[in-house]
Amino acid sequence: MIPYYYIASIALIALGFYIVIAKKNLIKIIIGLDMMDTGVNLLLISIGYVKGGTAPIENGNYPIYVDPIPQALVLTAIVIGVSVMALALSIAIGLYKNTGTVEIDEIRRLRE
Amino acid sequence: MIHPVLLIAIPLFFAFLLPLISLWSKKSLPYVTTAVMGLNTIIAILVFLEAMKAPIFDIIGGFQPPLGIVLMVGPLGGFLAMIINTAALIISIYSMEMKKEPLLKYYMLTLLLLMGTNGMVLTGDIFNLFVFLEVTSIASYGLASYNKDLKGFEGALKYVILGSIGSTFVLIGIALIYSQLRTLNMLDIARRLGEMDPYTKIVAFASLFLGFGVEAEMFPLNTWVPETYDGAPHPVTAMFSSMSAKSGIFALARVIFTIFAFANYLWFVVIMGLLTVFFGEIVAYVQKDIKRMLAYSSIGQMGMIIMGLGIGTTIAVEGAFFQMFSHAMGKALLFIAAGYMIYAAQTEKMSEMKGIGRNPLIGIPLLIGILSIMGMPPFIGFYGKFYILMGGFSQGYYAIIALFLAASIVEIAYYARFIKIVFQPSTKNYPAPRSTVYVPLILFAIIIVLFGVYPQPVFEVLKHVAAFLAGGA
Repeated sequence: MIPYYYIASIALIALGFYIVIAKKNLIKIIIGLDMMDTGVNLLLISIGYVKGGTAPIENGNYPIYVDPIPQALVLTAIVIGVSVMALALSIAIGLYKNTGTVEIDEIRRLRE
Repeated sequence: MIHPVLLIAIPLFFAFLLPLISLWSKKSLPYVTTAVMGLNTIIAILVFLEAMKAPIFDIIGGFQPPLGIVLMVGPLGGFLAMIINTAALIISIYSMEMKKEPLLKYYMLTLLLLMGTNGMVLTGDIFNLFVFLEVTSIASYGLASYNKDLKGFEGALKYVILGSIGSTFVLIGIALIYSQLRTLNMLDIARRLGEMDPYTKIVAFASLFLGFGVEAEMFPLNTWVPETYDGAPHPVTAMFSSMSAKSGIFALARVIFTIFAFANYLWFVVIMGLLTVFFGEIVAYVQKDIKRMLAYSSIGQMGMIIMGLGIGTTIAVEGAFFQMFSHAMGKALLFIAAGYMIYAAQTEKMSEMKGIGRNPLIGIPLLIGILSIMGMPPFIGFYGKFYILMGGFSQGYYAIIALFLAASIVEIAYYARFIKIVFQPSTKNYPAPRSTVYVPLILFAIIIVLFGVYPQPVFEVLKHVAAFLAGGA
């Protein structure tokens, strides 16, 4: 049986992917990319989840704790995602300064 | 014993030392960068020689694998690292042509790009591979939009969108593998692959394959290539085709052979490769701008490599690795030559470049590069194509071979047209190339001719392909 949090994260990824391929506004596309990122992070973090587990600090009092590796992975992935988003937004600003619009169709028309 | 981690640490250290150096002397930045890349090339050669004896496992931070992160350098990884560092060194000579500010950021980003590509080739940990993929990508996005004009931003935007989707898929693949095996070490994954649920395995493989396919310019994820190559500064274009594309394709080879251990014919990969070849070569034929033509041709060449990996016999994969070498050298040469030609003719239109190759300093290396990319015998480009074909032939895939050869004919047609334009007599006067242009061209040409006439050292390396296919480093 697939746990529901897997379905939620896959739904987030699919939604983000839909936004990226269907929307024509740059900012919306970047938001879609961010949603995909969030979905994957949710997927990763839920993989490490153990029912009733505490934070992964081993001191004997809490025998059940969640898998620490996915948490480390997600931390890294969040940092990477933030920097990619910042870069994508700055590229969007650059395009806006060059063309005065953030609509993909308009930009394509201006180039030709 | 030389640590392969130096190949990653040195560019990273110097990338963030450059701001301090620029306070002291801004003029020295290109020389410092070239010196760092030279140092890296020497280390890469030493690492390669060491890895030829036995694969190197460099344990980071004292944590034993499979828990800790490990660098895994086999003979082929060392070979690729050497190619990438050599190409970076030679291109960094051409980078001295760059005049547009902010040069400090340009050199920092090139060093970070080198660090990321080296990491992708050397790492033995699948999440680490993702991190280095992202380092490479972020440096590439910055470099692609370096010109700050519409073309540059548009190319960078396409690259960011596709690259982010690709890295999301890579991360999904890693998550799926981790959810079943609780390990991230490549060899550990390969060893315990049988424990994985077969459907999850297929989905994980497809995710990783698509994710690295973006960087490896695989169809249909390569729509970023022409725009990004067109909009990026000329030295950066050479770097993309010879460094990041190579690390992407090696990551793809790692995924196919080291992690998932598919040691035979993979029709899916072959078809993707064949589509990539066709898309690249046929669209290249109709291009009028030199950089776009070379970008599409680059896609075609990468498709040939993917095909070689997909056919999966030892000979075909040897051909694929030889093709990586020849493409890294030949395409970097052509992109540098294209950079000079655009500068000299002040246009990207090939029809305006009549007679530009009649200057022997440009013409002779250019001709060598084109003939090598076409696959003519005395140059390195020949062996790659020939071995991929032999691999297909020995397995009886005649239809694939026929299609491959048809695409090669298209390639020869548009390069022949290009040669005709560039070498025809013309009364136009072009500015003479500076030494920063012709020195890298001649260096690449020397490598192409030297290993074309005397390929034994490369074949010596490629003997290890059989071990690589059997799931080794």
